Amino acid sequence: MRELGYREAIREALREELQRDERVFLIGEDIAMPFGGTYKVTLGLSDEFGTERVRNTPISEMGFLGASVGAAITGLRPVAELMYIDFSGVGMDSIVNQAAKIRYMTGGQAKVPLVIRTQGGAGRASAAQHAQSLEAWFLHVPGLVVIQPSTPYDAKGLLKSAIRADDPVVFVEHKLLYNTKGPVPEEEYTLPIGKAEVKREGRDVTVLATSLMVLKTLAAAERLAAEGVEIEVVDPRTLFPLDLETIVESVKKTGRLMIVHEAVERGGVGAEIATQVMEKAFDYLDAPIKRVAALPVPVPFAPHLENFVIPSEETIVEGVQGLL
Amino acid sequence: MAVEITMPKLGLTMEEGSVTQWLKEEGQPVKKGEPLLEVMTDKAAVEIESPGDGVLSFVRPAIGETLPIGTLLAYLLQPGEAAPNAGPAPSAVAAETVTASAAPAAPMVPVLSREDGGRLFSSPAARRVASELGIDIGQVPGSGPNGRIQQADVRAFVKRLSMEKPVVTPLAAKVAVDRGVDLSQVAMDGRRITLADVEKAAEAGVAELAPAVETAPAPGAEEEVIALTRLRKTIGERMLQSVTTAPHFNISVEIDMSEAARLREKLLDTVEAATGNRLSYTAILVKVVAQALARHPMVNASFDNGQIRLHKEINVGVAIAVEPGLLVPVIRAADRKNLIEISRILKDLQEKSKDLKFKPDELTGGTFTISNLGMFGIDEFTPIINPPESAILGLGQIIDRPVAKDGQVVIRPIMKATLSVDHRVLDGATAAPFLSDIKRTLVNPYLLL
Repeated sequence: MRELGYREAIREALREELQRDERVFLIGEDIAMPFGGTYKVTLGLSDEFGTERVRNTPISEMGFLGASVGAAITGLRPVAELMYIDFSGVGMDSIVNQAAKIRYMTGGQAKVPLVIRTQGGAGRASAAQHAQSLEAWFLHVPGLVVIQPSTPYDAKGLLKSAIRADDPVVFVEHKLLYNTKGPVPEEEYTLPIGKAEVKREGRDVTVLATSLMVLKTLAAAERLAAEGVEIEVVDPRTLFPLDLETIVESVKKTGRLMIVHEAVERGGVGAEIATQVMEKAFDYLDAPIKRVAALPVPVPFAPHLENFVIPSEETIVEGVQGLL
Repeated sequence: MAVEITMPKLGLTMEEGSVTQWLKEEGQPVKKGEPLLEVMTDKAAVEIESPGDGVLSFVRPAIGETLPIGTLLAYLLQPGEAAPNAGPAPSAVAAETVTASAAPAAPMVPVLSREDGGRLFSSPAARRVASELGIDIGQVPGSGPNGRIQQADVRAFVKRLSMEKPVVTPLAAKVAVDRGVDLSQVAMDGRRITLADVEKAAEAGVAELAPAVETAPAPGAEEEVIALTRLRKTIGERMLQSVTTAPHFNISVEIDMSEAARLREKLLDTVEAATGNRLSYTAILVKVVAQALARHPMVNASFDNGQIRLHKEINVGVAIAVEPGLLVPVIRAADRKNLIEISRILKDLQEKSKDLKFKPDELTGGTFTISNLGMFGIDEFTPIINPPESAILGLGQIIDRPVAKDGQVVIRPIMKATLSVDHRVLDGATAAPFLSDIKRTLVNPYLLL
């Protein structure tokens, strides 16, 4: 199977869906050529599909997200790019009060087939206002689907499904994942929304990880395996709807759960998942559920502090060891 | 401070004894000096006074079991005192683990405590595994933080136990052999194995304990294995209980049934006209036995918790073979019913036995049982008493035999009858007249009037 970059896989998904359905269009800041997106994801697409279907906007999250909602409810299928998840605050009303609720409030008469692609995460010294992981904000709002893919394969398959879905999706990429590579089939494929994946099988501890943390956890798994500890790495891929069944099945096997996410520990998605697992599989827990997540501070600018604040391979290994 | 009640040394040479009965009940407050329990040595039964004040708790369920002196039998707890953990707590902890396994969906939250009054920490998974394996989790050493007992600790404990040779009481060992119970699967909490443990394991179906431990039983045995129906199981349990609690002895007679046969001949038409069925010997026997019971009230009794209860009603049960096993429907107030009524009821019960559609009160309340294997050509047999009754009459076939009469050898229809008796209630001297009475009445049925 060919190796494709995360960035390229997402681009491919967008291209395929733009070709497949003329109602699909992209909108966002600097996504058209010659810039092709701040992380170069949309490179070349406006050349291929024109600037009506790949539209640049001013710095105006409220404006273009609101326009996207309007486009969606009048029959188009917009894929809006929120350059940094940190900017979602500017357009929050369009996401939370409009996109998430219009279908419900119109009794199903209007639907919002909108995908908001965005990215977050630290590791590039982007500092406090450009390095957050805010997926928990959207998890909390009924009406929004929240997807957080960790591999090129997952990203392409899930983005295609998200575009084809009739519900508003917040699709959270990671700035450090764009350069990663992975196997992606040549043939067209989609992946089901709401299905987790066991990225690595093990029997001692279940480690649930999201986004970039999946890669760090897989690296930690190698180190732990050398010590004779086999962790099972579960990637939920979709945060809502959550595939609790796969997670619980793993916990029943191992008896121990650790959750790793780059977002701040307090109020993060880990707390929600931990509670759901506790409710479903209390009798199978051999130890308290542990979270390895970011310290409750704004993400520092200085690289060594930035690395200190977020989970690392080291802290993941220590976390697992502490559970045994 | 909990007061320990232990098996006392009542004499210089005494090494073991058994508890015959508790004179106070679990949960009852006891004062120092009050009679608390009765202990049997090999010489005599002795009443033991309470060594202190407190509420009688955690009574070890071991009536009749021989225990070494010093064995912990119970505690006297002070008000508000936490229960000590190590010790004869099987009733308390077993109750928790039993209720836990009875409701697997509900999370188990027993708060167990150690001897120092501290809490026992165990993970939910450890508690679940312990209850699945029938372990007293309080016995498991914990290796987690805070001394928390974890799954692996429970499994290690089980493994260790299964490798040790279990200590078994002689009676339990015998019963285990009889019932095919694998002792290494019984009583995983390190106590010596008692009859109750073996029975509980046999009841639970020992195979249920086995799969949870490392070595699962091999599927697909060569012999045909028949799963126990509930009825079969119940019969087995009750009969076991009967032979192990009631000391049986048997007395038999041979009865000349010529006159009884004549009586039956004469009554056949009447009974047939009234009930539509033929008068059976069993019906006659029910009547005869019922009258005899009225004259010998000691036989119409039960041994109950150290007392003999004489029953007011005479309810004669008749053992009937049914497809899954054996049932004993009861003819109530048999002494006050005439042959026609008895015959009718008996026929009705036999009909019902075909599809087991009995009313509950038709199967309970018996005070005596008759079992007739004559129709199978059996001459005689020793029946097992149907608890909580005190005796049972087993009848064989009526068959012509040569007997001596007035110096001559004559042929008479003879029926052998065996009475099995509970020696706790009756002796030979009290049981024999009863059986003789039955014989006398059958030989001369006019005595029925």
